[in-house]
Amino acid sequence: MDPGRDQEFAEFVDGRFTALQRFGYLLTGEWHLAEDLVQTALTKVWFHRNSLRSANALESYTRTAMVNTSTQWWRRKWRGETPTEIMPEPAGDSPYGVVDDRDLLLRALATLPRRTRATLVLRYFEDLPEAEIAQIMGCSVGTVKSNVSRGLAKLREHQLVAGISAPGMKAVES
Amino acid sequence: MNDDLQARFQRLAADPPPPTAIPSQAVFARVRKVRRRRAAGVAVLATAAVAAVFAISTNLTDIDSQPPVLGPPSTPTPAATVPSPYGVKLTLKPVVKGRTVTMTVSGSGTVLLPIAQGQELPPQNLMALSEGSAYSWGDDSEPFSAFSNGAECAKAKTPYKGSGSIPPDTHTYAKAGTYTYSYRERFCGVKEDATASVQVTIR
Repeated sequence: MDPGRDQEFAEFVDGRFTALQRFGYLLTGEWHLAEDLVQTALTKVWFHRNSLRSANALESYTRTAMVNTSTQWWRRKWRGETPTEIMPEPAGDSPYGVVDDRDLLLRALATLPRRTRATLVLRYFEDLPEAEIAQIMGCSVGTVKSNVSRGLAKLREHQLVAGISAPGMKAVES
Repeated sequence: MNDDLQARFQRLAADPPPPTAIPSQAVFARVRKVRRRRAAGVAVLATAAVAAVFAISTNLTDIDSQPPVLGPPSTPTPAATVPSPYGVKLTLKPVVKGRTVTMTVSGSGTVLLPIAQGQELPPQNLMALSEGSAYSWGDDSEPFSAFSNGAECAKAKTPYKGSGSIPPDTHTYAKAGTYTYSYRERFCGVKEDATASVQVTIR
């Protein structure tokens, strides 16, 4: 390993790990898986770092690797049985009628196709422009727009988050 | 419920747990693992190719491809048993959290310093002087195994006594049960690979 390049890469990893871990959590729904996903993606990136055009491309390339890796994991279905931090409960079962908003959104996200979910997270969590999302996802801007539209529609169909709204989109009241 | 999606995403991912290891060290550990695995794959292929050529060149001696007629095997001469001054003792320390196990492997002992690219490696973390390792989590996951071809040990001559550990490795078991984690590490000068195993109970 080249000590200079390794140092630069290590600084990127240590500096951006938490942000990437958050992104991974929204892709996978579990913190442990998110950490595994980030490390797996960064390992792949390390082997291809010589082909990157610039240091700025590192983060974008890492996100691409994370999206692709999470999709591969999902296809292989190796994570059929995994530990969860909180057991999901139906909304009506709460004795106080209090619904965990975060849990509901997580469950709604889990119903989306993997790439649609990734597109929504890139758009509304990372706040990236459509052109950059298209670059990360390896698709056209039109595909990004349709994925966002379909994803939001799907979330609204979900009774648990029927009242969701998003910038540029008309909110639907539950 | 009429909330902004962006704000809800932010709240959802607001509290990440601390990473289980220093991120860059964890990633470099994986990089090393992949590199060792790739190197081992190349070494195995090269060894197999050399072995195949050797077998063909020694066993097929004429146009009819008949193996040579060999004389009776010579009687081996008994050798005096001398205890080896080299050896490594491994220690495994599993930490179980839910179904995820973090395994720390450490070792101490005396080995020969390997010679890589014409230069003797400096004394350092003992485990970094390894010639390869193999481990199994004891479940259905694929066992890991990566060893070099031993070239770094061929001219090794300087003894080194030390200790060290490798970055912790994590694994998530699919279901509860008792599993046996086994680990094997190879060093220059040590005749038998250092081995250790430990039982891990997942509830």
